[in-house]
This record gives sequence, C-alpha cells and structure tokens, in this order.
Amino acid sequence: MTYEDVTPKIVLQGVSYCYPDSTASPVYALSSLTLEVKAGDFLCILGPNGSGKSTLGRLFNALLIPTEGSVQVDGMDTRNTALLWTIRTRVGMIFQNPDNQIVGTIVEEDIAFGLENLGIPPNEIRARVDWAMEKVGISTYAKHPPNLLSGGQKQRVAIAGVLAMKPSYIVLDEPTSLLDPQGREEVLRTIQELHSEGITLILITHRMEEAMLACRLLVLEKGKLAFLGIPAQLVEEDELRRHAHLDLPLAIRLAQLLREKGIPLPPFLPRPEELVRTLCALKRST
Amino acid sequence: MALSDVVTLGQYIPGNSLLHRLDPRTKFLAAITLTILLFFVTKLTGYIFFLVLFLAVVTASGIPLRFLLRGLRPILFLILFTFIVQALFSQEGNVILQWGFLVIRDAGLWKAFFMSFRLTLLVLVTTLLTLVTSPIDLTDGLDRLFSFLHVLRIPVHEIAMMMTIALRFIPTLLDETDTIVKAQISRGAPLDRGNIFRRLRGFVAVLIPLFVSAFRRADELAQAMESRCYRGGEGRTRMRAMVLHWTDLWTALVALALGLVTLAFNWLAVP
Repeated sequence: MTYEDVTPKIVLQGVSYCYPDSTASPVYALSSLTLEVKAGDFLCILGPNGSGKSTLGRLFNALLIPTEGSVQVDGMDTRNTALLWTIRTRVGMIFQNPDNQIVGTIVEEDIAFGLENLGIPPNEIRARVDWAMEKVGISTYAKHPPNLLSGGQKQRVAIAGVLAMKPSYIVLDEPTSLLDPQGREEVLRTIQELHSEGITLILITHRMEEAMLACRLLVLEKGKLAFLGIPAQLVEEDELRRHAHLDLPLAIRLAQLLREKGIPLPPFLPRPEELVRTLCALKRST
Repeated sequence: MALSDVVTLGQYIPGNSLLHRLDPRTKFLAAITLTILLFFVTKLTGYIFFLVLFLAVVTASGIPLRFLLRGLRPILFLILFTFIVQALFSQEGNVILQWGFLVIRDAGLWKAFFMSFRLTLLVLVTTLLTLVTSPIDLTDGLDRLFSFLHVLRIPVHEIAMMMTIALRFIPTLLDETDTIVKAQISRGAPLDRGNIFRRLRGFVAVLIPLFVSAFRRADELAQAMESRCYRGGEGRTRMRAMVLHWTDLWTALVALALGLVTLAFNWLAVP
C-alpha cells in the first residue's frame, strides 16, 4: 500500500476526544471537529485555557487517538499502529517547555536524537544535524550543554531536532509562552522562515499577536469549533473574541482608534511595523 | 551562587592527553583490569611497581595530583578504619607492641598497610577514569561495551538512556531546587536557621514541590521522546561512531604486559 498518490494534507473527520476518567460522566475535551490542513498552510489554533487546544495538537501526531472520528495524515489513519512512526516522522511536535523536551546532554546530541531513533546511518545524521543547526542559527552552540542556553535558544534547539527529521508538518504547542520577549521574537522569526520554505505549520497559542502571523485561524471554545477563517475576519468578530478572551493586538486596536479619528488607514494592519510604515507614508503624502 | 555552579557533574577535566583521547571502552576495561590486578599482588616490590606505573599514567594524563587526591576524601575514614582493624586484630606474626588487650603484630601491620594501599589505589584508578572521561562518553562507552548483555535480557540500552537523561537533568533540577529554596525561605520556611533537625524538617517543603515537578517533567519528556520516534534501543543508530584506533590496541597491549610484570613479582625471589 502506498500513500504517495494522496494529496498531502491532514484531515480530521468528526473528531471527538474524551480523556479517560474514573468519574461516571465523560467530559469531552473536543467534540465533533472536522478540519482540513493542506500542505503549505499556516494554521493557528486559539482559545482560552481548557478549550482543548493542546488536546487537538496531540491528535495530529498520534500522541492521542480520537475517541470518535478519525485523523488522517497524508491519508494515513492515526489509529493504525503500523503507521505510527511514519506519521510521527511527517508531523513534528514542539512543546511549551524547552527544558522538558531536550534529551541530549549537548546540543548536537539532542538534535541527533530523533534521527538516531529512525536508524539513519551516522554520516547522514551528521550532515542533517549540521544542516538543521545552520537553519535555526545555533551552529555556534553545537557543543554547549542545553542548560547554558537561553530559553529562545533552547526552543530553537528543539525546533532543529524536529527539523532534522524532515517533517512536512510541525505542530507547535505554545512554543513561546515560557520565553522572554527576545526569545519569543527569535522563535517566531524561525518558524516564519520554516513556513516560507514550505513546511506546514500548526501553531497553538493564546497570543493574538502571534496568531496574526498565520494564514488561517481556528478558535476553540469548550472543545468546539467557534471560528475558522483568515485573521482579518476574526478582527471583525467582536462578540466571539470577547467570549474567547482574545484581545486584539495593540497595532490593530491603535489603527481602529485612528480610523475613528478620521485617519484613512486600511482595514487590516496586524503588525506594528506595517502600521508605522503606513502612517509614515500618510504623513509624507499630506 | 547557583547550586549548579557548586556541584560539578562527574569530575571530568577537559584535556587533550592520550588518556583523554582514548576510546572510553578501552579506558574502562583498562581501569577494571588494573583494579582486579591490584587484588592479586602480594609482594612489596609488586606494589611499588604498580605505584610507579600509576604515577606515570597520571603524569601522562596531565591531571594535577591534588584533583586525584580529592577523590580520596570521602573514603578516608574507610581506609583508616581498615588499617586499624587489620593492625589490631591480626593473629599472625610476632608481637611488636602490646598495650592492655591491644596487640600489634608485625605481619598484621604489613597486612594493614597493604590493604589500605589497595583500597587507596582502587579509588585513585576509578577517580582517574572519571577525570579523563566525560560522563556522556562513559555512558555511551558502557552502553556499547555491554550491549551484548541484552541477549540475557538485561536492558543495557535502557539503563544507559536513563543515565544520560539523569545527567541531562541534574543541572536543570539543581536550578529548580535553588528557586524552590528561595521561594520557601521568602515565605518564612525555616531552612536557614534553627538546629539541624528543624532545618531537615523544613526541607520537606523543598522536596515535595521538587518531586511533583520532576514527575511532570518526566511526563512531558516522555511525550517529547515519543514524538521524536523513540522506541527503545532496537534498530537505533548513533551519530557519533565509536571507532577503536591503533592507540587503543597499543594501550591495551601495554597495559596487559605491565599487568603481567606486576604479577610476576609474586613469583620472583624479591621481598
């Protein structure tokens, strides 16, 4: 059986997930979710705490198997245990805490970890590790023990470790929530580069600034799909955002206020740099 | 000063001597051979030869002697105890000193001396091994050296992986301990005052959060490892190939030859 002829995409079909619990009434972390993530997409999953974001993230690479419905990665069903390792090679996963996902005692050893697990020959591992370190800009720290690195650097080590396995999709579960602003900037820059090189990203976050970088947004509320669309669309949905505790980024709020004052600004300027550039252009032209 | 600055991991001192560059497997086997040998030597000349040999190796390693002797500190009491017991309770040889029920005999004194000497060198040899081999190299070396044991269903790879993870998390957990200690002191936990028992009891307030956090970390690490396709040692390759060089062979041969010479003193007509 080959899976090469299937269009590369992750398909969730009526997925529900219920954590095994001793209490009588089952609580669904996710209920009847249908979703398609095509190759090249940059999907951001938003939602308040306990909305099922992380659960959804863990369904993509078969860390969790849906209670009902199915998840298919490039046509491979995650319930099929024979395909487990192929699926996990295709779908890389980055977790919130960089400290708890680094296995190796030095940086390059850690990046090699996944490749060693796949049984790849040593010289190819070496080449891929060097390539991945170069890609995320941590080559200078190759021999450093991870505890000497900053949060942003550690998270980039984790990204390099996943990248070395050449995945088609990378799921990032709140990768910046434990980092300082500089580390957050480093990580966001890195993942944007990855996306521009054709890796499909699924970013789980609760920060609207980060969500604005994505192509599509998905908002979860109590395990149910509350919104699915482009970022500009979500900006319009005031009621929904208030419900899900999603505050608009500063740049967008400022632009809204300026528009109310009669300054002619385009409707959607998610990033501060764009807003600054537009305002400067406006000032010059008047 | 953070806790992780005080506690050094293993005692590895980086360097580029012959001893540093040898394959960890060669070093491990050589150290084991030397320690076993130590128990077969019976003549004084044998011991002297061994000591000279060992000092030559230490000089070659470029490790300052004081680092080596530091390794003796924890077992100084044991060595002293062994010496006294052997000296006092030996029943062989002529009495050279008697004081009440305490009798010291000449043969006993010799035996005591040899026993302490053995014990000291035993520790020195293993200390030297850890001084010239990084913990990760040692773990890796042991993993490969004993991988054949998995035929006997001994989970060699798993044990080595556990050691690697432990080494990786020691600094992380030390930093965390530091934070918890500060947090608890700032809430008035009596960790820095009162008598020893009061302080020890206070440490429960550090250990419990530390354990909870360690378990949470373990859980997350397991998920991360699974996500990166970890499924035990089966079919796993390693990035760093461990290749035995000619120097490893020569070292092994020289060590073996010198070992035999040391043993030969036992049969020679020398003291």
